[in-house]
Amino acid sequence: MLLEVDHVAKHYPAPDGESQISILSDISFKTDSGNSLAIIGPSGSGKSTLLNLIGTLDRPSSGKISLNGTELTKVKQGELAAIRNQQIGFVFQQHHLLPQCTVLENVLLPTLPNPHKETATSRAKKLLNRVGLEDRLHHRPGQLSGGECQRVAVVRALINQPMLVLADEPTGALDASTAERLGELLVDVNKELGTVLIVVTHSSKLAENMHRHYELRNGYLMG
Amino acid sequence: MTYFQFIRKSMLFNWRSHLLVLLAAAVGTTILVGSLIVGDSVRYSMQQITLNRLGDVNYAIETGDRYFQAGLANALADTLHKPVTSMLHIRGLVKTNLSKSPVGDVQVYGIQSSFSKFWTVSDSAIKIGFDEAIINNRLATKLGVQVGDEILVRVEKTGVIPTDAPLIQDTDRSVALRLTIHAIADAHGFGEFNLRTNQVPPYNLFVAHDLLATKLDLSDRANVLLFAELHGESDPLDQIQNAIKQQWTLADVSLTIRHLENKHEIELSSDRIFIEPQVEPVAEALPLASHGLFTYLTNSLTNKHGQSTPYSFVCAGSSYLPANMSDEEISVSSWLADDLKLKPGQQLTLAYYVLGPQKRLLEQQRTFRVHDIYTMNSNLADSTLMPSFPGIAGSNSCRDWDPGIPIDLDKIRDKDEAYWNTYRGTPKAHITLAAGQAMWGNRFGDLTAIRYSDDKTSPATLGSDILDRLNPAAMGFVPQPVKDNGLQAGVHAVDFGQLFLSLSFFILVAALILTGMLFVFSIETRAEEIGTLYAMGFSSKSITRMLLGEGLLLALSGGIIGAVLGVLYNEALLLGLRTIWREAVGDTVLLLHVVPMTLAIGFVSGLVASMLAMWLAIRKLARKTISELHGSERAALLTTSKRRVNISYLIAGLTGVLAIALLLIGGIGQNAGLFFGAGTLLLVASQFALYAWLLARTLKTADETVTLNRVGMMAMTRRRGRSLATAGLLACGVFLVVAVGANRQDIGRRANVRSSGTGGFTFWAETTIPITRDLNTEDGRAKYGLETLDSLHVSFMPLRLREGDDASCLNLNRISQPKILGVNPVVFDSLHAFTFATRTEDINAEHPWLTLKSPYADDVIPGIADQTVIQWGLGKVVGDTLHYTDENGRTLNIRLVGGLANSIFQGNVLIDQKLFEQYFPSISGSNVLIVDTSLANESKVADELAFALQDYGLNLQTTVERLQAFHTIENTYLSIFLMLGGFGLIIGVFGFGIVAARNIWERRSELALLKATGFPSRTIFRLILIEHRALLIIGVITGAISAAIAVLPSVLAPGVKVPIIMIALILLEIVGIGLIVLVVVTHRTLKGDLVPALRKE
Repeated sequence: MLLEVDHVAKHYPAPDGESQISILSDISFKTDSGNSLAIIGPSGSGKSTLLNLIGTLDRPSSGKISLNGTELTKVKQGELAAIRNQQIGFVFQQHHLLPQCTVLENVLLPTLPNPHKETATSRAKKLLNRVGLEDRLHHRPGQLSGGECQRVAVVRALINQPMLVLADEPTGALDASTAERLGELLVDVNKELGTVLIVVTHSSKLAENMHRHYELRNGYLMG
Repeated sequence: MTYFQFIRKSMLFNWRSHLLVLLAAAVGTTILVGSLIVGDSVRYSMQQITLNRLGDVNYAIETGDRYFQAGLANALADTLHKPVTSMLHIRGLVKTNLSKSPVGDVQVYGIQSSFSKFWTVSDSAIKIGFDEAIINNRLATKLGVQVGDEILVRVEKTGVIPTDAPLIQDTDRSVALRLTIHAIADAHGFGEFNLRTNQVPPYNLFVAHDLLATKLDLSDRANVLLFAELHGESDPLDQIQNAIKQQWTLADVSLTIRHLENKHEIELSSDRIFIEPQVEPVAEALPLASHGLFTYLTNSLTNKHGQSTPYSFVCAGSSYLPANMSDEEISVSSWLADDLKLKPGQQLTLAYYVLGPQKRLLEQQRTFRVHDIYTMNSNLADSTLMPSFPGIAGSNSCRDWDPGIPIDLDKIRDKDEAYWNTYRGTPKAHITLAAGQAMWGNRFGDLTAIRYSDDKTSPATLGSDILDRLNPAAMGFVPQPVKDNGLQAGVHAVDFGQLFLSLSFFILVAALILTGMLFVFSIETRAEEIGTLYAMGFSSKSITRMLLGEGLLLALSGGIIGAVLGVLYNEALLLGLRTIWREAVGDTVLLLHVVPMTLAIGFVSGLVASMLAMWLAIRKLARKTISELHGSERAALLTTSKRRVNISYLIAGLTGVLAIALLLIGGIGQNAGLFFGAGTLLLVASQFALYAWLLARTLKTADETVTLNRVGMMAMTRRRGRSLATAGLLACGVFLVVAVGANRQDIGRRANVRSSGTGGFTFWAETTIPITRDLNTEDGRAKYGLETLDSLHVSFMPLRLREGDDASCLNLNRISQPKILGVNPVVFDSLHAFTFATRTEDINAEHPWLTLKSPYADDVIPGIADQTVIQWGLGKVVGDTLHYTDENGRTLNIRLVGGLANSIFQGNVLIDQKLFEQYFPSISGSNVLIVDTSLANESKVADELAFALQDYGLNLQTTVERLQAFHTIENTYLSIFLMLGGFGLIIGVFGFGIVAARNIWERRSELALLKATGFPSRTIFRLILIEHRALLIIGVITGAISAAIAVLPSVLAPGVKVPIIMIALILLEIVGIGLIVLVVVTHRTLKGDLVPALRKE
């Protein structure tokens, strides 16, 4: 299995400093290459927290998460960054493109920590071409539409050829037609590149395009 | 795309927010560079002054009250093949026809043409006519004279014989010279010539050597030798010593040899009357038959019937004395036996004067038994035994005698005159040498002559043998590397670089905090970017490195700007030192001197400090979670725990308790240091308490009534670090300003207290010409025309002075041999005068002054100095030792056993008067007097002294004035600190404004919401004001209270006048400026449309 989530829980200290607030409880699932799955649920149900745990941006309070056989919960912080860089791609609700960089530079940013990046530029151009932004390479984010920015964010997530792509409400900030096109793009890319795609979304339409979907309710994952 | 390209792009994109960081970093570097350059400039100036004041003089010998032959310089020049000159140096006073009081402490030099070889001036420039003088600029300015004007110069009538020696007259202590000013010498010539290490030029007056020598009856004599630079393999000082050994003659050490052919004896005598103690063993150790003689003038020789013969010489130690004569017996001449009808076995009483302190004559008696009577044809009846006492030798009549003792002419009979006419000074009686030395031995010597049999030597051989065995250093020929010493003293001069760094410390800290704060603000606006980079797999380290990369570029740019501005800042500081802070450096001419290395050090230090500030500010940012970085504050607030609150309160409480404990201990022991510690701890405690309170407010979720005040106060907890930094910065600034302001002292009101720095004495008097008599006695006062003081209850404490470098804070150089004052420690002990700030463990705890009376060893004696001198002037601590060369060429070690607190003795080292006389016997009289009188008589005493001692070059000042002169420097430093601290506070207030602006900006959407829900603009304005006003007031109040406790001892001291109004004004200014900044910032930030912010929300 490429990704295994095994009895994962997450809680935070309450404001009184003594008790705990539970966000996620006993989450378990597995998925393999080429699969896509959607996680849906109401606001505050812990969807983004789960995505952050899988994406190694946060650590679970208990349980374990394994990616491609590596138990992420046991990996040191410094090594996690390398795993994040090489094996995981992120797409957020906001595109979070760096305003000081051009489209091409934004896409190439994840290749900075990678010492083998000779082919990165041609791959970036190819991917941008794939999402229809070949004539926007040297534009800055401020010169693009919201949908275009989000497509750049998708390309940025794919530039290092990750085995896992995590999308946190990727269409949440887009209008319906743009959101639909982006959803299609994600599904197509998942098929083409054989990655695991996990999407947190409120959009049932987007969720239906995934191989599987789970619902998070009160911290528990419903199959 | 590379890291560097990314950093460069980010830099350029965020240039607006980075510009402020760059400027703050530039301020930090400016302070560092500017302060360090001031240090270089002062050091450079000191070295230039040394080069100016010494010209080509590299080595010098000052023999003080010993005078050698001026021609010795030529002989030394021939031997060393380098320019050498000799000069007469004496202190004097100068006045013009118009001036009311003379200018004292003028250095009068009798120079020869060879003096010109040490300066880049023409020979003609140094050629002085017989009644002419060249004076330096400083003296000309002081006198208000120019070339061609006439001046009256009065110099001490010094001579080969020390004035304090017994039987030496001390009348006509000065000689006047009326001179015309031939030229005025400036710093580029020899005008500032000075062998003392001091940046302030002395008052100099140069006259022809022949003129001065003639006026002082010191023909062909000199007491200073100047040497140019010497090369060669051996030590230059050894070269000089060897050359002296080769070239000196007996006349150079005031020794005379005469052949008494009829007696077959060769006699060694001294021009100083008494053969010096260091010569005696050398002369007696020669393998020749010799005997010492001591001939002295008695007041009377009295038989058992009370009949007396007045004013007779008695000799001790003659080789012709009967072998069986004891120390209690006397051999009398037939003339005396006839006069007093003496027979062997009868008693004869000798009355004679010995010298007490300050030439106080003490008549003593000793009775002898007549051993035998010799005829006037005997070898004992020898007129050559009488030394050449001035005022006696060469007199035609007894009535013409003018020795250093009172002569009652009525006692002189015709037969006495007849004896003088026939036998001159032939001793009328003889005693053993032991008996004579027991009665008349003194610090100037125990013999008046040594006689050798001429059968194995000749006068020339004897002279040569003695000179061979004498050590030049023992005779005062101690060469000093004056130029090296001066340059070294300049290198180790008061470090104005460090001083200004310390004084500018608060600006520096404020600038660095601002740098860090502005940088973090700039970075915080890019929190999303950091979160994204983090998600993309950039590690915390690499993100930090990238951000610091930007920081480095900013710090580099700021550093370059700061380095340039630093030079300007240095110029501003130098300008300040030349004008408003002039007291800190006196009349020193300060020259700008930029050393590239210093510039580099300042630049790199600024860079490192800025980088450190930025690293401290952002180190936590890269560790935040993606949620926090992408805009959610809630997660951050959740991380606070009750435990953390409790720990913070605990630390605050413990620190507070420790502060109170120190306060109580300090109060009991009146220890100012503990009070300062308590104040500082209280400041720390208050900041911890504030932090704990902010944390506690964060956790407080219980239902409470919502008021505007509560909401405003709660807002402070949103950015705890920011709130704490703002309040803390203001508190520290206020603490320093108040603490420094309160330490500005006015010592006037404690002046009459014995334990104060004045010792309870009223005046400090210095005279150019020493006072040789005791002004506490009727005779002494009569001699100086001070009889009127008898009714004014005045007492004097004379202090002997051995010249040295001024080690007070008025001298910027690092001194190794300060002036020595010989004091009577018993008086200070009985008065419990002065207070010891520091003392060694072995000092007498009950009577610290009396420790001065107990030498540790032959050449190690205790000394006391002002603590300021020990610490700053000498760079030492109590227990350390100062090394001098005494008058006999021996090393004198003065171990510092105590440091006086803020005393009038700044600049000097105090030793016991008796030990002073032992090591410096030739120094006659007292140049320093401290005077005790009542407040009511102060002005009358001052007038009387000023009038009576004007020809002695009296410089009279009250002890309060003297202390205030020293405190002026301290107060100037405090002024500098206050001014620079004020700048720092302005930066602090500016930072406070930026924090406020930032806070408001971050909450625009929240404020927009309030506006949208119907809050009037005025209410929103008040809300913001409440939050920030609280920070401002907390900072000011905690800082002020802590500082008040820290300086409580100074505030409560009876003599201290704390400038409360000034401090209050500064505090009001801080609060006022802070509020104005806040209002302006709030107004500007809230100006405009808040709707976009609301839409974003």
